[in-house]
Amino acid sequence: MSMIDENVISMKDVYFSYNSFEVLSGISFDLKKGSFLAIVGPNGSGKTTLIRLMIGLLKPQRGEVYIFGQRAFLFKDWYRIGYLPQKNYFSENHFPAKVKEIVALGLLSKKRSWKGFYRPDLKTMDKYLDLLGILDLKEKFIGELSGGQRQRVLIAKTLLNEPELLILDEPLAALDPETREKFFDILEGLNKKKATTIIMITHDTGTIGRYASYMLYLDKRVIFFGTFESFCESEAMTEYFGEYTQHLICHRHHIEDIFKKSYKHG
Amino acid sequence: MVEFLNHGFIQKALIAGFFISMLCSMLGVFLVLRNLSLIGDGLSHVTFGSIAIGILFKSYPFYIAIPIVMASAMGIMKLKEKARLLGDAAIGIVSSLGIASGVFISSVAGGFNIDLFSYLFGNILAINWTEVIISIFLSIIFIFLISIFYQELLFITFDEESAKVSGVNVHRINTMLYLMTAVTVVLAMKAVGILLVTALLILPSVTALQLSRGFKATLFISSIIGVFSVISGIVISFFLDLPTGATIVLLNFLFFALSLFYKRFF
Repeated sequence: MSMIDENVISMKDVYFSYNSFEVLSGISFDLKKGSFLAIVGPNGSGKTTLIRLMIGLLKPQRGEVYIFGQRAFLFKDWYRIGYLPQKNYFSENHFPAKVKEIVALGLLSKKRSWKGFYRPDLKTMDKYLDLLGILDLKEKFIGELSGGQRQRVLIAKTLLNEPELLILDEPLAALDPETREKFFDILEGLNKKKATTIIMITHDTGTIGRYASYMLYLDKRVIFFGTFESFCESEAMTEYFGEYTQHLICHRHHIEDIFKKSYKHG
Repeated sequence: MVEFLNHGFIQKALIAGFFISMLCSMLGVFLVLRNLSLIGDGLSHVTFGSIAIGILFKSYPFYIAIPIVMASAMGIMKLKEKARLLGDAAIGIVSSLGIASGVFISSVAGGFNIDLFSYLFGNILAINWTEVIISIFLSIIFIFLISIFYQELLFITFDEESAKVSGVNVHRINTMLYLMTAVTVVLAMKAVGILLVTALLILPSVTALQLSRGFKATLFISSIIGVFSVISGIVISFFLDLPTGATIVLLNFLFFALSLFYKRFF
């Protein structure tokens, strides 16, 4: 088995431009099974483009992208992936489907070929709706829900298939603090108990350090890729971000970790 | 009333109208929700051009129109995908090309303007048995396709990108939807005429969206409204000596206005 096969995601010197505007240059990294990767970076740094390259929605101009050992743009084993894109919530205001109809779509990838007359697994659906606190919204229309509730519906749809790899593009934006905690608990459970690989784009650098094992700081190129601990100890990162910003990320991560541990132990 | 049903032309109109309107109403829901409402208008303009070609070559216009309109639907899809034009712009290009071709051919060839312009307003009472049988056959096939690919059509209507990453063959389903729309537009042309085809696609679906109780219910309500408008339009126009196509469209509009009233006050 080659190194590429052992990695869930592997990028080799990837370049991508929209027309002549270069968005990503020289991206290389490998992500092993069971990792929890946080992708952070400023607006316009190429984070969404990076994950669209990972799942073959875009093709790089140069370099190679592999997912589960297969070239990303030839990838077909979609049942192994759960993908939550960045959404414009206003576009769904008049969509006539009920919550249960939307969430059930999450199981569609399990069907390999013909998907006709497909019946979803209602027990698994109820489990995730309950975990996300939206079981009572099952019969409601998606257009009647608030932005945060809609986001929870889309999260439930993404988790329903219990995929090997979860790719989440800014899933936290519309969530209240309590739901964020619930969501992170679900992700932590999947990551630790089922070795689900998780890739999450987020601006919440303070909180994500409590859960993510790896961080990729992107600004059109990879500024940093490694564990949170190595980020906090990196002198190069101190030089890049300044001591204050690095301290904010690492200190809060450390403090919240202590708080969480003591809370869990009663 | 029984005497009315004994007329052969009424029987043909009622049978063809039932199937064509049901198909238009179901497809319309997907088109409206995907911001493709005007595709019917664009393709009906292409029908105008292809009818001109049919008359020029003294061929049965129905048979000439179907492949040309199907090719044009593919043209709209390719312009959207490859040239990255927004849906309306691609429809506008193909639509104006269709009208210009029709006017050009009728002007250069001369002598068949009356024939050509009779297609603008249609006449379902003049439909022949061949057209009735084609309408029934194609409608049954298309409704069957909508049933077996229901989950996929729902998914790409809700979120095309997520559908693709869930293993839905988005290109194949889009091709199917565009081709079904193309053939349906040619069938509907006979019922209400080139100028009013869009009404059969859009009005029942937007009315159903006002009253929607789930996605399947929306498809069902849209079909009921579409079929009822066409059947009652044929009956009313016969007894009151009114133009059938226009009566059908005005009834559809009346139901839409009533649905707005219902939504506003109930």
